[in-house]
Amino acid sequence: MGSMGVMGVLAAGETGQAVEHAEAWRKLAAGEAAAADFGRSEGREARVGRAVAALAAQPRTAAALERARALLEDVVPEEIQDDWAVMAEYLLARWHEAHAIEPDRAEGERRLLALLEARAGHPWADAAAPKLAIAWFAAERDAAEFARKEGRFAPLLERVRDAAARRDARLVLADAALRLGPDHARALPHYRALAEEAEALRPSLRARVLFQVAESAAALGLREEAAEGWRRFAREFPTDARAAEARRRAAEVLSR
Amino acid sequence: MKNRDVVEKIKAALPWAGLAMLLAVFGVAAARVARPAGAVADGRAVIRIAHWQLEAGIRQGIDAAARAYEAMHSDVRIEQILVPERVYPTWLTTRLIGGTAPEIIELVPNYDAARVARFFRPLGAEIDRPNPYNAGTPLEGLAWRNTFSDGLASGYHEELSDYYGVGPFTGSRCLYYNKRLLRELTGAEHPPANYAELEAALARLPEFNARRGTAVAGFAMHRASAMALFNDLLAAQMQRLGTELARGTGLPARQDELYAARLAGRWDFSRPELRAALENLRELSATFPPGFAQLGREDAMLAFVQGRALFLFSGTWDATNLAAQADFPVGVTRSITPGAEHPRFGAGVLGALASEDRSGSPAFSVTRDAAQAERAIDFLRFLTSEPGNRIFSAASGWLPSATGVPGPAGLEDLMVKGEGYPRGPALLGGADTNLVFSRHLARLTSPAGGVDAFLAGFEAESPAAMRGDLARSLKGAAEGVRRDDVAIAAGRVLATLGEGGAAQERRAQSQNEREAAMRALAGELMRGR
Repeated sequence: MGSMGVMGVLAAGETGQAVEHAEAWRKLAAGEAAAADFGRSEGREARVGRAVAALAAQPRTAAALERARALLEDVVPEEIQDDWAVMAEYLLARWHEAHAIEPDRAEGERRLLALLEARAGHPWADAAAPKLAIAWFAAERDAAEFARKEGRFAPLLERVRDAAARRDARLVLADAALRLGPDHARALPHYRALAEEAEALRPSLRARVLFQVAESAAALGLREEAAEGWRRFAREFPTDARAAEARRRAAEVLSR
Repeated sequence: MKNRDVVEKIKAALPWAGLAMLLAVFGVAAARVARPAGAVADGRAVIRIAHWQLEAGIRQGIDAAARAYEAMHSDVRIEQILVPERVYPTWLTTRLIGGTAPEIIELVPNYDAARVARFFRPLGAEIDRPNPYNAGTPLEGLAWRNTFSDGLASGYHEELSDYYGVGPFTGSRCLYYNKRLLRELTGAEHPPANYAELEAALARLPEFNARRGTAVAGFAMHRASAMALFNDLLAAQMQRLGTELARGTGLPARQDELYAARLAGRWDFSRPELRAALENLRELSATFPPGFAQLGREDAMLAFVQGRALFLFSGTWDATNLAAQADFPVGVTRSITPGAEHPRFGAGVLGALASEDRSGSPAFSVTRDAAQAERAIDFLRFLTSEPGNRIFSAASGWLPSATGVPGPAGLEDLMVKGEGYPRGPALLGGADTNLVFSRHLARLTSPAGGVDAFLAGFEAESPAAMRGDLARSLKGAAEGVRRDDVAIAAGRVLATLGEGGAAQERRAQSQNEREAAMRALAGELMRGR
């Protein structure tokens, strides 16, 4: 495929590198079987494609999953570090944490961290950032441990260039901080950053983030910001079930 | 004799004539259904729209809008295919897999996400653009999704992160009442304005029945509607608890968070407001017909139209049928739950249920392979536009889905009004928890039973049931996440070719959000062991 640089080129904002099996990828994107569409080619794209198709195969069997893992392992020798190799590294991490019959989350987490440390800035490595955030923070209830991991995660997140991956990681951090107490002071900066990029959020998430900015601001005594947050929510989602409550809270917080 | 021969011949021929008629009808139906997508009839492109809404009014409403559309587009013909609800899911799957699906299909709620992705066309791009049929109306220039009174929440597929349908009407749970009986009972022309008035009306029934020698029930009720009403009443009483459990969001928790918090020991039914909620269910159920848990929808409808009950808890979908069948004037009002001011049942309530939370809309979707997909989408634009929806609502008698279109006479109170507080988490909904609740319900509602008798069984068995429901939910979520991995991986490769970058980004965003929630919930479950 001349695959060298495909994902890197994407990161640079360019497109158009050849992908030999576009139709097969389209089928996979639409949830259709596509293993045969990658043909018998031993090319690196075809091997990754067959691995992804094996991950989708139904019924889900240990044999198919092992085949997927073997194909991916085969694409990631250290001497070839093209985009298919980085994609395979990412998928292998996912294989261990989500796809294996007996998931090994610790191994998945180790691989996500290694990928992010080695290749942050590459789209497939950046995609590991929200996954690592989920692994580290989503279920964490120990404030000290949360802070320790947060200190380690922050510099990694700084190196993430993909805006969508950065947003998703921030959302994980913000929601986890709420479950930690709630710790509004820790959560609010992340929600604010997300609200500034609200157009990039799905409508349901956008609504949740806007409401939460107001709620966290109110909890921290930032009354003007809270009122404006709730007003913005009611303005942008006038037919949402929370709109009436947002309007009531906006009026109430300013009258305190 | 001759006449007898003729009669015998006719008798002998009847089965064959019947069979011939049956075959003819089947042939016509099969030809209509199996006609290739985008087929042309009498020189016009045909758009077929399939749904299961056999209630009075819907067919007429869509027909009226279709004729108005055809008048503007003389090269298009719109046909409806009505399929009974009971066989609809099977019919739908058969048509989709067989490649003979119509252009527009009403989606079954919770239809398999993989099939939705494979067979239906996402409408995300169209939905963000203004609907041209709203030109010259107050909705002109608004994004199509913002012209729906429910914000098009029902058309959005969370797992697939896109809009997959729009609907021409809104359904809302509501309370029908027999105007004649209510007037005789209370002397009032208007329905109860709040829960205390509802209770007062029901309290008069025993004396009313004794005086008249009748057995009028408070509610015509059946199993499903009783569970729905109980769920609403419990959800109202769980607003305060739900908001406490949600940890900093300021809004009620979801059902899975409620269950996980129960397993973690963060709440149980010893809370006074929850005991009061159960007392409320017990008192209310005393006004239901005996054996209501064994009755079906038709039984409840029949009891109401025969004047054997004062109220019917149902939905706007029954309005046209009731009006046609009852020989007394039928009134309708929004479903009432106790407010925060109620002296006995108001402690857990933060506000009247938001009207949006009492309502829902269908999703009419366009099939991915429809040759006339653009025309089908265009018809949906018209059907849900201010003028098209006005025609639909007037002809059908159903609540419109478009903002600003007036509701049919008598149903105005049921329109989405943007008021109230979001509902609390639903206790009922998980299959195992529902089963345990149902199993012990008789202990709550029977004269010899009571709240303690119910709780002795429910509190003992419901934790395991909730754990089972959560485990099933987590399993389903994990399957969805794995399915997403494949679609997202393929989508990222295609994005390098300039295809669908925004769509795959949305799907990854949704996957990450759901996966984080799944991990958090799994963590709660581990801690709750």
